[in-house]
Amino acid sequence: MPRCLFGLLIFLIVFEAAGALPLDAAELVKAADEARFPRGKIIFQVKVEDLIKNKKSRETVYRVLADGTGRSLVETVLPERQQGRKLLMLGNDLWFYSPDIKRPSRVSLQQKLTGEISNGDLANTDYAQDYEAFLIGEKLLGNKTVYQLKLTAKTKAATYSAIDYWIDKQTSAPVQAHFLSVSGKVLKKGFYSGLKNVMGKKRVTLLRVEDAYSEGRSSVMSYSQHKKGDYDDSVFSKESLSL
Amino acid sequence: MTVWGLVKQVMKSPSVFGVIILLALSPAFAQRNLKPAMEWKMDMRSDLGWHLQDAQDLAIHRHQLEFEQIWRTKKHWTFRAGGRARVDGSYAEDSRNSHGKASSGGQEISAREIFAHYQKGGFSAKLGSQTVVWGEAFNSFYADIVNPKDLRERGIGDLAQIRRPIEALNIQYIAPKWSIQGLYLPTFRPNQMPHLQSDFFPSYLSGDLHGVPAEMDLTPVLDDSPGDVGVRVQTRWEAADISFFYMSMIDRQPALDITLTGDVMNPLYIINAKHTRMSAGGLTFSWADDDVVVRAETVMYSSRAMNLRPTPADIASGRFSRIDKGSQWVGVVGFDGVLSKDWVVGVQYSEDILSGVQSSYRAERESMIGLQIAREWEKAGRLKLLFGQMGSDGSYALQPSFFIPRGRALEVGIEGVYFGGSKDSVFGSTQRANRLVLAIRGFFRG
Repeated sequence: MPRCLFGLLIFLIVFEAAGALPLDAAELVKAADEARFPRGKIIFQVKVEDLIKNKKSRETVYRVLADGTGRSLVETVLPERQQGRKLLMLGNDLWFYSPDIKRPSRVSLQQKLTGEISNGDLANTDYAQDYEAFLIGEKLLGNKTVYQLKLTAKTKAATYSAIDYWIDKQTSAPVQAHFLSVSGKVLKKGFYSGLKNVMGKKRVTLLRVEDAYSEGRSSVMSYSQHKKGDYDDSVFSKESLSL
Repeated sequence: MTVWGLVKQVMKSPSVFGVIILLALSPAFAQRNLKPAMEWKMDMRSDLGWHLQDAQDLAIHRHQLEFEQIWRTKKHWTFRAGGRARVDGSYAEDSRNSHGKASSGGQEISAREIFAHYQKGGFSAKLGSQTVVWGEAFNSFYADIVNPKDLRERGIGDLAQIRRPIEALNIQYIAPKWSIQGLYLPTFRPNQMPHLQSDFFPSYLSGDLHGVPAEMDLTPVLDDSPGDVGVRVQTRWEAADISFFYMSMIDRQPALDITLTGDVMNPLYIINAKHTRMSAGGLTFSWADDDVVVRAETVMYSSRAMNLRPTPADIASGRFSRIDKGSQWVGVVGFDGVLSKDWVVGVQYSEDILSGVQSSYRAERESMIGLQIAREWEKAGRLKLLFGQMGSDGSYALQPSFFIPRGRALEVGIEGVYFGGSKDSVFGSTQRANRLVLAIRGFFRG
């Protein structure tokens, strides 16, 4: 009898520990993805403010359609002179459409990384799909207890080779990210904030990205107007870009 | 014509304004996928340019306004209507022009895209005046055969500006990895050609007129009733896009029929534009990896009418041109990619080969190598440089442009075109068009 009680006690301790620290890193990243974007077909707007020494140097507004499976369409809304430019991303495949030419053109994966805020940053809704996750541990970041993870790219479609990722233990929302190059150098540092109720769940709506190489240069991405996507799968096709 | 004159002309034209008001009142129109139900676009362009050689006088003084209205229903339907008004400053006198009277200034109002578009799932049907763009190569029209082009300035400028919308029924089915498109074009519209006195009229053709006055009537003379049909199949395979297309069409490009009229003391050439039915088939291809995109396209024209140099017998009978039908094959292959610091660089090589005709005004085989360099800076502006050199005659064309953004809606810039080579070469024949242009572009949206 005492043996049974001892066994039960051990089981309860292990079970309790597992509940307190879920060790599945992939699940953590999935939860953080949900705290960034709603699942399924969505539409949202992103305002990108480029700052030099905290002074706004440029503002661009994009409309993004994404379906959470690596397919996204980014269309420039503002400034007016760039309105109508579109970038379609289907995993590794990218097409660019410009109203000057009125013809979609295939572009190289490099294009995904161009711009202060790379095109990949705008619409990457699914880190869980693009990156392998490893849980490193827990730590205190500011006044928050966070999980520290290392994400490494599973495919070429991933925007970065690796990401150091910190997720709030309490809300499952991402707090901070360091985006790394192939050589492991930090390219950009991202800081998530602006937790708001979006489509029935608390989600981050602000991402400040600091350029690790140019001091004083940063960009703030504000996500808004999230909606369930009422569009057909054919919008994610090269042919639809010019319709 | 004054600007007010232009406005009055627009107001008198078959009005789309009633339709606009009716549609605006319709509750069926509402925001769709974060796009507004009603949207308008107005693009403004002003160009002031000078010739780069000889007199260095005014080459262009143009103001253009392009307007477009878009309406979207809650589901499936989109309507679009647009027009363009252009006032072109006059070139009062051009002493370099051997025909005396210089190119006149002009004003024009033209309808642009006006169509209804229905889309449900992968099915799309578009009816009305529209542009249909095929092809992969940069800054070229090789496979872009559906719409007629405005070639009055030899195709310089934005490709979207140069295409002339054409009435068509355009039906498309789009599946995840392939699509099929069918076209029916009931009417015919020709390419717009440079006027005889224009800077862009080839000097070797002017030379053949031996200084005799000429009148050009570009009213199309067709050898068949209008009605073009076309089909295109596209597929995506791994990192490649491949498409096949075929069109039975009346050639947008005229073969010029030149006859001598008048008497010995007052001779006069009459130039007419003949357009004949032909078929065009080809394929396009593009493939991308991490750094580079390879692009290729080819078109084979069958039964294409071409101008031949007249024989002595032709000249004796008063005909100063001969038109014969032959085949033409054009093909282009190139690659482009992003270099460090966001420089986009592209190189392409093209061949254009005639067969079945002899003694044409052009070489039987023409080849060209093209280079494109472009970069967009965050605040400083965007640079674009296009260079093309004919392998067959060594002539070349250079088109640089640099635009600086001024606020969200405006940009100012400088652009130019420089043709080099002998007077009877492909590019050298329009050397007198060499120019430097100051430009303002405005983009207004609502």
